[in-house]
Amino acid sequence: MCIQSGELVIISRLKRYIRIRVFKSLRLYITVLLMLVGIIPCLVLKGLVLKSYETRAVEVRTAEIQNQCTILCSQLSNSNYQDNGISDIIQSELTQLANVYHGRIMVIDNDFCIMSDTDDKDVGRKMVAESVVKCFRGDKAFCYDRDNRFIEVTAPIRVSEDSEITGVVLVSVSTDTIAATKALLAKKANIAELAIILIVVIAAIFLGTIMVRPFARITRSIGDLQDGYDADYLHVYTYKETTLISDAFNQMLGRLKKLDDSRQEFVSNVSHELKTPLTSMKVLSDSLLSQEEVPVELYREFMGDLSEEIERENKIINDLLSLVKMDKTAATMNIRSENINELIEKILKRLQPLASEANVEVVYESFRPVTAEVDEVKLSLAISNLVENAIKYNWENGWVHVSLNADHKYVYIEVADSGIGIPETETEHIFERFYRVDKSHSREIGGSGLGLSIARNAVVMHRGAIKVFSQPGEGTTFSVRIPINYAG
Amino acid sequence: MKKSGWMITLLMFGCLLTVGCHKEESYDMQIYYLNSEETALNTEGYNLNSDKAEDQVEEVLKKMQNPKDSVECVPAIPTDLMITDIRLEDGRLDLYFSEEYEILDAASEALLQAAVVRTVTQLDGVERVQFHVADEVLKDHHGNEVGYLRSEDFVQK
Repeated sequence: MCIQSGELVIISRLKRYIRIRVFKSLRLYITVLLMLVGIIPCLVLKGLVLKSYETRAVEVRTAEIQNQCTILCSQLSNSNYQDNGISDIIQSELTQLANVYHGRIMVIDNDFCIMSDTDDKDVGRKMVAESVVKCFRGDKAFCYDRDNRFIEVTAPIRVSEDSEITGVVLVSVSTDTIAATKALLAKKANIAELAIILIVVIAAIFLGTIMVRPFARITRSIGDLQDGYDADYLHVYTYKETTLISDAFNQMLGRLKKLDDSRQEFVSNVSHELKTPLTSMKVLSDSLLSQEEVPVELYREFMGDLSEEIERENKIINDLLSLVKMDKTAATMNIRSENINELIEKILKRLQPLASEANVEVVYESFRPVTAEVDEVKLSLAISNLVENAIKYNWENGWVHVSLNADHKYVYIEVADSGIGIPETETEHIFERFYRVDKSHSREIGGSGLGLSIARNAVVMHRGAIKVFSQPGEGTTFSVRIPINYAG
Repeated sequence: MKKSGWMITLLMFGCLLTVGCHKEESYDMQIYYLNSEETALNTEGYNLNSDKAEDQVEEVLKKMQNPKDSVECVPAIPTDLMITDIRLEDGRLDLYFSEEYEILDAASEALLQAAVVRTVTQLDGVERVQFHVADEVLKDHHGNEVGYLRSEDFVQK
């Protein structure tokens, strides 16, 4: 036997605590979910807006620059700058433009020589930047370098659309202002975002607590249920889900109550049924004892009555036992292939004396030989109960008609009688234990009130079905359907 | 057991990262080529073999027409353009090109000049380069001599 080490126990208990109390908590899920739903769209929105501002601002700035470029290019091409150099007017325009946009403008001739540079750094040098090369090849383009914060625009200088490119204007402007505005917007957005996050977190925690309260109520209510099965006990109707739980729980309570009631009734019925023959026996024996000089015939008669009562008691106890046994051995079915014809014939033969005594004619009709996989004991019990009832609840000179039929899947056994019948309202209840339609005649008719219950149990255990059809005053027919092959 | 599994995974990951890193080898010099679209300059590392300045110039110019990675690097000197003569004196290099030089468009010419000058001025014996075409000194569009070009004369931003 190994003893768990102390630390391991603590750790495993802690883990379990966390797992159950913390990680599986609906409240936690709701809170976290609300927080995510509140915060993530916020962040996404901020990102999108800032990005789209930046894109738009860059677009606008680029368009402006390109416009200016086009004007410059046409001015330059008209001024014949290749031969005369760049005029002062244009030069000052370049400088002015460069100042306005905080940028740098270069004019490059077709030797790739820098003719003019507003930064006054590289005049005379050769410019071999990729954008310039591309522009000379006809690929005028612009690019935005976010990391270094500038926009670069190239424009070709040419007399008309199709003529040769005589030079290129290269403009690069700083996007510091755009970056600064973006930073400012971002700052404001961040503040707003923090505020929203704070509110969302508080709201999420609050809502999380509130929303799971009904469940706590349910738990408490169920815990408080001590005794009795009040069928309208739980009413937490806050949500549809809790309403459903409450209803289901109440239904369960109702069923338990019914079960409890029927159990109590069963116990009281059993006691009553068991006591009745005993009472008769006591009365008989007491009266016998109290008499003096009793003739032997009287003794014999009284003994006969006593014997009957004992027999009755025995039967009741046997029925009870078989019912209880059937409940217990529900799993253990002794399935064998049986000839159903012979089974029924045996039953009818055994019950013949009872039938003749009651003056009831029993007819057996078998349409075809049938062999099926059944538990002989249980099925016999069921059928004999049905036939007994048919005989008992019958008139003088009545009849009982037993028929056996089968198709490739099922065996159909019908027990029909010309007896007193069962009212339609009662047909649901007749299979309940100790149920008697007419309680006043139960002693005369005899039996324990458990026959149909036993029969139904047996049929159900074979995965079969039992149905009843009855006309009060005319007769009753019980139909039993058993699968030929026991389906386990 | 699980912990050691994590450690091993982390170690392997670290190894992968270092393997993926491109080791910066140090070369003697960088040779300039054009990129695959022929719109900008690309470089490749190269180790010199010769010692004498003139031999080095020849070697380097030859290498310029034979890049290692011929997909990313296109020779700045087209294959049909021949260098007919090389004269080196006092750090001044005179390169004589064949007539095919005239066919080059302005962009290709500018890129060629930039590539050659930048490459060759890395050598100890060369400070500036003058171009000659068909035995005549190179002139610009206005008819002025281009003169000796140095590496600083080329701007790439």
